[in-house]
Amino acid sequence: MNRFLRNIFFILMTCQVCTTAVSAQELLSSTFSRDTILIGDQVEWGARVNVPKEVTIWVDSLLNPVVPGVELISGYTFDTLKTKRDFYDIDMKAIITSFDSGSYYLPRQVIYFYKGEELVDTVVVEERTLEVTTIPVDTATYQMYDIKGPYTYPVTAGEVLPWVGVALVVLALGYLIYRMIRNRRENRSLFGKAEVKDPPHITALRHLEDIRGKKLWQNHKEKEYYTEITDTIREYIEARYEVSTFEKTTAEIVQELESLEISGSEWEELKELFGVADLVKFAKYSASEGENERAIPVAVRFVNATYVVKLEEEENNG
Amino acid sequence: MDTVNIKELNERIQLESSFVDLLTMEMNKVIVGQKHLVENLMIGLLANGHILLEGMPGLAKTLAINTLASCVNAKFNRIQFTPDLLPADVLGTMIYSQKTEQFQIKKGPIFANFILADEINRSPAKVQSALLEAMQERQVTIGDETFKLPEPFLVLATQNPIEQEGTYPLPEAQVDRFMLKVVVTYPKKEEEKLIIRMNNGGGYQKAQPILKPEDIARAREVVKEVYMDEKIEKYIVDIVYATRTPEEYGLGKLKDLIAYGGSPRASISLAMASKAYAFIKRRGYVIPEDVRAVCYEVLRHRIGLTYEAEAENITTENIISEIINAVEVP
Repeated sequence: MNRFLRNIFFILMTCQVCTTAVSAQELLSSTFSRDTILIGDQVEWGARVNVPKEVTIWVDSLLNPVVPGVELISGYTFDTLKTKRDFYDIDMKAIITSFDSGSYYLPRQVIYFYKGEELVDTVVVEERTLEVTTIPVDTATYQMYDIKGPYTYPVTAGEVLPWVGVALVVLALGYLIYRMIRNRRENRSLFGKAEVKDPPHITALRHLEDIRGKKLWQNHKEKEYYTEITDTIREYIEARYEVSTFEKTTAEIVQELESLEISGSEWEELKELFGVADLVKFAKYSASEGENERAIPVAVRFVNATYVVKLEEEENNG
Repeated sequence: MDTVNIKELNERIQLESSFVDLLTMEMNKVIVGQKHLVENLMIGLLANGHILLEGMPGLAKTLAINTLASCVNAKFNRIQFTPDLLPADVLGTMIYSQKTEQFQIKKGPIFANFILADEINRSPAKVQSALLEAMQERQVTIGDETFKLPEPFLVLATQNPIEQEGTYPLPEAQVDRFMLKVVVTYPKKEEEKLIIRMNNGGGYQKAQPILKPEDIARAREVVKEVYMDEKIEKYIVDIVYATRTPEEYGLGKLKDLIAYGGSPRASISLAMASKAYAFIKRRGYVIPEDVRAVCYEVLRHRIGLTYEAEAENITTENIISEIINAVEVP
């Protein structure tokens, strides 16, 4: 009985192999995602083949163009699906397109079955026709459009941020350099607070008041007293009239100011003060008490008088 | 503590300097214009400093010194410096006397109160050195004997700025021995017309002696007493220092133009010349104006210029002007 059953199984298996072999010699229908496409559309073209586990398949590479008018976009790709115990379905697909309308004949493809290195069978994939259609142009309602301009992509933050960073660094450096130069001019440290400068007459009057407070001539420091007064007046003249005074002698300062048409009793008094100051500074002259007492008021009167003139000039100039 | 009585000194100076106007008037009888030259001759005379005169021929350099000598009633000698001049021709030498059968000393023309060393740069260095040594030491040694030169002793050397062919320019170290270098310029049109008239009309006047050498010696003593305040001394030192290290006075641009600056002798000369100028102006004290007035004459030959400065036609006068305008006046 067992022997009988074994014979039956052998016969059935032989029939199965024979059936497969017979079926492999038949035409295998090709697969198409679509058989009619518009110009430029892409379509998958291929076949599905059922092969035993120990068999490998071989297909000739497709040429480009596949046929005149049909372009190959990508060659065959194979996808293996296990369907039965010892058989596989293999999907093979190529992508093709056409840029011209018409009917194209896609030729047969041959699939070779190898068992090891031995060619055991061949299968032919049937030929197909690919219809390529075009878009009909409605000449009655056709309207021509202008060419579209280049597309502007929106700028992303990632592109902008580095430039913003660079700009901030440059600005910060510029500000630091500006402060450094300005503070160096004003003899201040880099982060020192900005000093508000008083107008020349205020500075001069304050200095003169300080000199008065020091009581220099009362303490027999006449030379220092007159030096400080004349230096204050020189500083004031330099700031008020933009005349360099510290590098000039008294006679030169007088000449320069008279060329600026400075006159009046205050100016005459100041000239006298300069004369007395020169005598005290360079000739060991002992000024009288009256001269010493008059010195600061004379300087103050000159500052006030010239300051008022300046205000009037500014008012006249609008 | 200095105990100078300025009032008393001023009075003395008023008295002693009264001859200044007389001397100027007497010189102006003969010299037309050239006030600057006459003033500087007096500064040199009073400050006991020798003068180097630079100017074109015919500008009354010789006449000026001759007139000064006549006014002071002093001995004047003129030595024309030539390439074949020898030191003995200037200083003197030993000559053999057949009568006494001994060597006798023959004093040279340098033994006079006023010497005009005309065209000093035409003689070789050995003659220049002999003269300049005598100027410095104020004595001359001939053989074994040393002779003091008469007082006052004032050398006025001239040199021509245009002819440099066959000349021996004075070395810097020797130029430094002249207290003043005065540049003599052409007279003005009116002055030149007067010169023509005086020469052609025969109205050429002669200076009369109004001073004795002793008066000059006394005036020099008074000049030394002219009060100079510490502030003025500092001003003088600042000016001279600015010729050496201009960058310290905010004159960095001059650094590459100055090869060398004034020596301490420049400071001494500036101080002495300022005192003499104050004396001429009848003052017993020096003011910054006095320093400025003599600054160019004292410093112009003491500042060495670099090739860069010469290439840019910068003169020592330009340098001095820059310095004066930059150094703070007390």
